[in-house]
Amino acid sequence: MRRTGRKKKSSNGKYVTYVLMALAVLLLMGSTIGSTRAALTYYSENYTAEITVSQIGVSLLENGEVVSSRDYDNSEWKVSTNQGGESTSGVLLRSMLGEGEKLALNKSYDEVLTVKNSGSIDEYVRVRIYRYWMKDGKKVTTLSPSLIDLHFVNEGQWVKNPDDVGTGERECVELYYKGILPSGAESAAFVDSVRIDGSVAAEARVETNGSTITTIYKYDGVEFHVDVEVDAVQTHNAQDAIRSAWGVDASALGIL
Amino acid sequence: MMDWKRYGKLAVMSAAALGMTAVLTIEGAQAYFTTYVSAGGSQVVNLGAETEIHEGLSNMTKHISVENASAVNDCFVRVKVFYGGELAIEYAEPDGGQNWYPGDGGYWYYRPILAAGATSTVLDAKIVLPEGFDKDNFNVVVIQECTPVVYDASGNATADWTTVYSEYQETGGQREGADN
Repeated sequence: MRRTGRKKKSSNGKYVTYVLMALAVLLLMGSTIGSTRAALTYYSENYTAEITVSQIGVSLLENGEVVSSRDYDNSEWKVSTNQGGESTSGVLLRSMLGEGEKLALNKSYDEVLTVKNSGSIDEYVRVRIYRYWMKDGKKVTTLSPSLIDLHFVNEGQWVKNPDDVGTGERECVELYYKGILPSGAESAAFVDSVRIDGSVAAEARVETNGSTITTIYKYDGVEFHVDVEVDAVQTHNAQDAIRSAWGVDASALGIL
Repeated sequence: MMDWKRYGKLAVMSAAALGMTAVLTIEGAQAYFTTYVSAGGSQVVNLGAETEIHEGLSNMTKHISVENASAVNDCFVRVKVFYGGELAIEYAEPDGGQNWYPGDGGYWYYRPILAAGATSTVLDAKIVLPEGFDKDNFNVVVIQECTPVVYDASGNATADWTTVYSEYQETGGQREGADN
């Protein structure tokens, strides 16, 4: 009698195991089907129904010209820049000076920077602007980035990272586009001009040789650099998406 | 009382199945659509000036001009004539031009931007000696200065003659004179 009872209990245990395994397999299959559902296309005799896969894309424009873009299209990333070829990064300031024109201090040069949503879905956008000095391939840290005077505009539309406010000396400025940038739309400009402050020429020594005076400036030949990065993220589940992609609280920034 | 030996296998397999399900669920929630682009550029700031004063003398008149010897940078220039109190100087432009004008500090300012490699027009400084003055014993000294072309708030090219340079290596004079 005892033996029979043990056998019964054992077969019950196996039965429960199989049932649970079957449930687990069903759960796994269910989750996999959920991921592939978006690729389903339905055909019928008279109608064709297609589901468009979400295609995100973003472009950076300088003075109305696309400098760099990266769009998801037909299951692949399409990258194009004004450098052409295999380059993944565009070139800025290329047309800042005319033929034979020399850079003048304190002069404002047109540098209108905007972002375009070149994808098929709406998105949130962030830009990061880096400005710094280089000479002979090395970064010059004794010159303030603020001497590269980028004129930020539309500050109601482009929200500055609160950590950057009042710190013009920072090399990086982070701006968040307030609200959704719809598919196909171009943002308001976040910068409209660039100017090199004349105080870059404040340090000099003067040498005389007969009737010739030579003024030698400490920062002669220094290069100013402006780099821009644009990030875009989907609007669906935006709070979590932005937190995941950018690591910030979008609600607290007031950009949703 | 639960028999862990008997249900251990069951518990492990169930936990593994739940774990796999959870992993698939998490992966789905993290797949946000994002994209990015970047671009960068630079320009060189060429600084530095080299100017040379040219003086000629005829009929008690100094013919003054300034050459911008820099290969790259344009500048503004000005000159000043120093002389003894008993002398007098009359200024004129030989070709009737109006490129030079008297301004602050007793300087004569050259109105146009002096382009790299260019030479200014001539400013004549006629030395007027008092009656009976010894013509062989006097000094007239001309100095010249230059300053880079900068722009004001309205976008107009201008000269900032108030700039005081910070010496960054060794002390040097900012003025150069030529004795008669």
